[in-house]
Amino acid sequence: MDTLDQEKIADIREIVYNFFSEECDIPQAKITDNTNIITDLEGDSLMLLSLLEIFRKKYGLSIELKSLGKHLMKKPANTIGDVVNLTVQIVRHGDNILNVDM
Amino acid sequence: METTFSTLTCEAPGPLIGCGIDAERISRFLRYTAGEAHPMPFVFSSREIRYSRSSASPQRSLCASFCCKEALFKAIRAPYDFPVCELFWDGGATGDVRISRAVRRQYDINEAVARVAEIASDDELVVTVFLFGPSQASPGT
Repeated sequence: MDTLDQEKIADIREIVYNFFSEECDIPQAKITDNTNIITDLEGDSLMLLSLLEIFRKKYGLSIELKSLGKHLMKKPANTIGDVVNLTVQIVRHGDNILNVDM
Repeated sequence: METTFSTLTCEAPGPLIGCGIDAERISRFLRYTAGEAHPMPFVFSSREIRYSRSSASPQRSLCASFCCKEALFKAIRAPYDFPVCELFWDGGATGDVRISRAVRRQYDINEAVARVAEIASDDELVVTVFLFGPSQASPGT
């Protein structure tokens, strides 16, 4: 993993943390990678799609929801850390995420 | 075309093969009504965006449309690309739901009906999607 990747991962992490902090009205300091999106933050699918839209604009993502849905059925994104990892993989692989072992 | 059906008179357009329901707060969609750009291209079709922007309450229209897509997901129990399911809702009890031919063929859907209602408060919509399969001949005919 090169330096650019590390910078991008840090950027993605910051966006995810900021997003859920604002959406769920919770101080960012109370959110960790282990925070559960459903049980701890009362998050839902619209939040995840809104977050994806932010990344679509920022990185020009071209993933289709059908691919993402199939991926999430195999590997659910339950925690903030899962969402960060998922977003990193989407930015890297787009629709090929289905063929990637995470 | 508005489809009506009744469990009392058996006027359903075919056998019920699936049903899904979803509810969302209307105010959550306000952010997607501003600006010229398409707000969520992997969720809403361009036609839905144009329709919502021409309606009296774009956020209500988008909210109903999103609920319809989620309800279809629950009805077919499989991921699909949301823009291929469109809802054009004018504020009445039913919306005009259009599902792509590919999805209809894959899940053997002959017709889909979307019921829209307000629940709990003025800020919440619930959409129920009923999926009907091809009509079958009655026994003995």
